[in-house]
Amino acid sequence: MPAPFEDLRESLLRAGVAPRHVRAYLAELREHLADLAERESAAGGDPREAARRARAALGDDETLAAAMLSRRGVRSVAARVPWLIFTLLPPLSLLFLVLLWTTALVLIGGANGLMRVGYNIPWPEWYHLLVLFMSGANNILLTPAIASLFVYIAWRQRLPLKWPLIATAILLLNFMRLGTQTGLPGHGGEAVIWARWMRHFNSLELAWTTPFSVSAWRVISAQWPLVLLQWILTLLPMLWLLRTYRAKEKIAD
Amino acid sequence: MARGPNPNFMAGVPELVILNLLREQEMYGYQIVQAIRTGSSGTLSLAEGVIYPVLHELKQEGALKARRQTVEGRSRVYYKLTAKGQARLTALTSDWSGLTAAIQAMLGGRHARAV
Repeated sequence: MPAPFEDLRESLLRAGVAPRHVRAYLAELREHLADLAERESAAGGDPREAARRARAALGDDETLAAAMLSRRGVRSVAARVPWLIFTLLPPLSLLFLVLLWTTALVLIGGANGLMRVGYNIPWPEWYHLLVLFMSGANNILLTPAIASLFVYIAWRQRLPLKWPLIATAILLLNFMRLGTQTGLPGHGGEAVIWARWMRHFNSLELAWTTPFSVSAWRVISAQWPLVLLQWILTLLPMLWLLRTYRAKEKIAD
Repeated sequence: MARGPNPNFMAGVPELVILNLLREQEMYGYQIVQAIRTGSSGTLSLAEGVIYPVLHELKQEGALKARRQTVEGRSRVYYKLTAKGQARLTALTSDWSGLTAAIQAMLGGRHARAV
């Protein structure tokens, strides 16, 4: 048996009402229904009939949904401008987090006297390990984590599958080029954001490479197990969403 | 005979009625609905749940403030009028008085012509 107001919740979410508004609305409706049920029970008679009268007094799902949908400002941003949320935000959030990640590495190195322009300071083993770990975590986990976030947003607001699919595709096309790789100071020192494991960093700088460059595909072919792992992890949330939507459709049928 | 939901109430009067009720004391949704029912002697009848979107919108606009309180194991959201809500109430009351006076005048005129 579905939970009380489950159908109402679904119809509001599908209509684009922001989850926080839906949550607040349903919480108060539940309390109100409990008050009505108490009143009807106190009036005596069959408890089931009292519960039915209480629910009728509250209003049917259609009326309750219409009342909410007639209000201004209840639709979520993702429902109003999904193209913005699911096309622009995924690469921007990926870029922002990689920059944040790399900045954290630079700051940690700088705080320990390991980053000085023009000097090649040998790094202690712990910093090598930290960089290795953070780069690895960045390369393997960051993209799937961001994909999961956008899938979660779509699921929470019952948005069409195409939007998280677009976000996931954009992330899949981009993430291979994001990671950390640095050159040596005094030797050009160019560094790129790159999905690649590196052991010897002396400085960290950031640059942007063109998508689908030959060098990118060289890395992909050389590191296919890593790439495959990244792709599988990134696609998993989308597969989960597909299954969840299908299960809901079956229940609705 | 039981009255059905009043469409006029749904069209825009709820703000006025709610703000007026909350002028004197803070109340939660169920209390507000019962006060409307009692205060209007059952004339204003509505599907009770529709009160919440109105309350939420008024809160969003800053006309009401809300606080959650647990009373005897039940979680209640109490609504209270703000200064902005008070100003809104004054404006709405004035509009409403003007409107009803105009309608009364029209009805009175028609009544006079009919007589």
